[in-house]
Amino acid sequence: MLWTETILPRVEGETRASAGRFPVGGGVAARAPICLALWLASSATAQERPPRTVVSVHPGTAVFTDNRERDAAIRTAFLARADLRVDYFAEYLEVDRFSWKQASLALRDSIRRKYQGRPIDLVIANTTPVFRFVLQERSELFPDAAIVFFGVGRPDPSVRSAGAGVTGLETDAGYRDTVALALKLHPETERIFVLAEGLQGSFREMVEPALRDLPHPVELTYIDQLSIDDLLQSIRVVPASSLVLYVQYMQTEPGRLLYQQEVARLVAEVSPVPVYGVTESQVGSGIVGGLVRSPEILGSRLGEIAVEILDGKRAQDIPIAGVPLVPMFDWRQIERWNISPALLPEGSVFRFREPSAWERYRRYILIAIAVFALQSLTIAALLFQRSRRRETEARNAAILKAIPDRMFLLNRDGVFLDAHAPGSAVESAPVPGSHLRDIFPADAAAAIEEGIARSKSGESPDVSEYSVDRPDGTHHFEARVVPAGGGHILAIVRDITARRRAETALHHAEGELRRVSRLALLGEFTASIAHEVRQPLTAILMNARSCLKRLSGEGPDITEVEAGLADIVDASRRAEEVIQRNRELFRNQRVEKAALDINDVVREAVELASTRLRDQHVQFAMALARDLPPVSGDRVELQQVLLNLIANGIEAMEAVDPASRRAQVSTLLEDGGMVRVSVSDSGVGLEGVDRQRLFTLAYTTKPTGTGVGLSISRSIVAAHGGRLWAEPNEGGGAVFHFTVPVYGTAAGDEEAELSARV
Amino acid sequence: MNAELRVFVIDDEPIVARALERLLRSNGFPAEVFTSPAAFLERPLYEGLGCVLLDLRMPGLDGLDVQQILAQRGTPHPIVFLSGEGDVPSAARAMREGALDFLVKPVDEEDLLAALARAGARARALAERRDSERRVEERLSRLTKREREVVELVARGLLNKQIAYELGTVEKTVKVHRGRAMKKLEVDSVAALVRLLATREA
Repeated sequence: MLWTETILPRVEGETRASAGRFPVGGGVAARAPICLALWLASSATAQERPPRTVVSVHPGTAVFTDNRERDAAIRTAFLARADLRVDYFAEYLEVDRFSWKQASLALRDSIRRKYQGRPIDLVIANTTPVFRFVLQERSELFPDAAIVFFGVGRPDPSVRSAGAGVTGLETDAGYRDTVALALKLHPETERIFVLAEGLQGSFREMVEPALRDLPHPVELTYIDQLSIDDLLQSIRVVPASSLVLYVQYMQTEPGRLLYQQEVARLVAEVSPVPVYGVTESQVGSGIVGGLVRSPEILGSRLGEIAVEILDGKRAQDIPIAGVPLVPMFDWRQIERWNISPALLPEGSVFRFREPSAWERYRRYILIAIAVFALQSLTIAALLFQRSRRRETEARNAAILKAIPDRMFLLNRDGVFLDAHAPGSAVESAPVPGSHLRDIFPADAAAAIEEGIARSKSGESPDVSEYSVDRPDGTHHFEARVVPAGGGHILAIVRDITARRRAETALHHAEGELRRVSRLALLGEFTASIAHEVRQPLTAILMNARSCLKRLSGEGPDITEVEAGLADIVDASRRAEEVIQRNRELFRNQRVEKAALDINDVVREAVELASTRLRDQHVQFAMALARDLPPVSGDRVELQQVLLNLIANGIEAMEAVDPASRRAQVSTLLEDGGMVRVSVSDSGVGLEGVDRQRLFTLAYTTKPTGTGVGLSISRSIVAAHGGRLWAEPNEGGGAVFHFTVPVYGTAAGDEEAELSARV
Repeated sequence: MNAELRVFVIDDEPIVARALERLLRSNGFPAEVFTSPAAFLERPLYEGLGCVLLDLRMPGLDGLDVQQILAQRGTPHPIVFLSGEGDVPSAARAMREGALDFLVKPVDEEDLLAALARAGARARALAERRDSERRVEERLSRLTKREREVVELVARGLLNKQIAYELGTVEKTVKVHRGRAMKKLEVDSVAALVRLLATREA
């Protein structure tokens, strides 16, 4: 493209010269075969259209970057249309090496010979010198070809005179825009050195008009005509507050052939200030960049216009359009000159930008960060967990320290694995590896081993109790055995001696309280009867006395004696009434009857008495008949009877060796709709007991007894319609029996009364 | 002798009250029977020798209440309590308040008669004391104001001279008052005078 600017000043003269050189007739003679070809082509179109011939003429040589890229872009546009059959050729007007005249003559001859018999349908004229050449040779070489051109800078006046069949692109040179941008990026700039040397002389006239009246006043210094060495010498010493605008600089020394990009490289190398350029091919040679023309954009637009024409559109109907400049920069220079990318125009293209580590390895970096974050999280979680675990461990240790219980970890064979024994539950602290039986007393070890055998995982702990005799008394322990996982057993042993003693003491106290309150009740009862009976008794006594006195005296007063005796009779009746009333009082206490399972009643009563039985080391048994019919009675009253009988049995065994204390409760169905409950003991028996008086009120054989228990029991049983009696037990002791009617029988329904109480 | 002592029987139990009355009468005591304390308290005070046989437990006012009321009134009859049972706190209180005896029913005749004998003795003693007091009062009422003052001071052991000084008069006048007063009071020695005045003060 630069060739346009370089060559343009001289084109006009050449054009004029050549115009006169070719006779018009030559053009006509050459026209005949082309017409034939066109005819052939148009007739062929009827069946199959022959390929179209497109010739693109570039300035200079094929190795020029701009030519190469533009040509490729034009071809790409044709390739995009597979339906168009196009023969595409590239030709070069070698004005870079030769004079315009020599180059155009050579190209004219070459085309004439090359395209003999091949009519050219379309010519693409790249840059103004080429356009000139095409117009000049049009009549001879391209008589029927449409012409697509592109030019740089101001509009080419020859376009207007070209007439029909011509269209193309006109692009701005970009000098002014590039300088304006450079001044914006370097506001302190005072001078701009403009390098503008064409192949055939200064290029200054082309640039100067564009840089007139810049918004920022700067001094413009044009450098041309200098040899490369002189140029570089000058650039080396430019002041710091200046810039360089490299329009182009063709070497002027013969034998030292340098392409203009290569000169740009040399300039940029020595320049102490930023160098700006105007073509894309300059970017990369060391210049910063600028608003540049892009051969690729130009090529594809030219190709598109060509395709339109091949499609049948007339060239004159396609308006001549402009092509936008591309803000393009060398990233290395941007960094070198500390230019802020933010100040560059939007849509700027950066070349040679080394993708940053972030851009290049973004994926890996993200993965690495993710891995690292994950790892950190894991570590944090582990640390947190560890601190939590330490807390938990400390808390567990504290709990363990505070618990007075002994804990043992055992295997299922009873071998200690670990132990926590704050006190002296056992004779010596267990050493891991020792066995239960080595440490615990025999019965304790047996109890725990049984617990181990019974314990199943998931169930509540197996609880067993055992006692150890010590010099300071019997100690009671409670062993809880629970599977601890992994085939291990956790045994927790608790000293329950204090609790046991408290229970025993409480039980004794309760017993004492019951006895005392029974006494108190009895006392109150007798007092109330005594008071009421005493009144008539007093009257009887005194009346009797006065009667006696009257009768013993002289002249007894019979009337008085009679009155006294009548009063005695009255008072006696009164006394009888009192007794009668008290009997009525009890008579009114009727039993609330319900259908009861007597075995349940027995079990509950035994449960209530269990502590006492255990304290007294009584071996207790129950022999309860199955399938008993329900009995008719009051649960609480019957339990009271049972408790009384059990209590009596226990008391009867107090004087007996603990090893032979045995008691039993049994139930059985009797004939006659009665269920019999029997309570037997191995106590002192009924020897020397008045069995007639046994159940009467206030009869007792016990030093602390009240004599009420059996009497009340018999009353209750009687009220139920049953019977209570005692027999000697086979093999020692006594057995008390009572009967209760089966529910629904006559005996159970009749209203029995507590008549035996008073 | 029993006839001298009138026995007031208070018992809410009519047959007991009646039996008591019969027993007392057969032993020669004049007896009055009340089946409620109120009825007895409404009766005018008996001037002669009397004694109260009081049941402890009664509806409304009980025996201890009646005892308190009689003490407030200054009734001069000794009280013998009769109770259905040996209520020790009640008995103790009754005795502390001046009861003569506390008998438990059914009371034996001998015990009752013994208690009544003591009650009679007490009643008589009380009556005698009242008589002598009354006599002293009657004699003292014969004295003039001045004679009375002199007698009081003599009883305190003061000499005539001292008495004259106390009363702001002369010994001779004191001697005259003293002589007259002794005559009116029918005593012939200072000792007898002191005894007489002590009777009144008791």
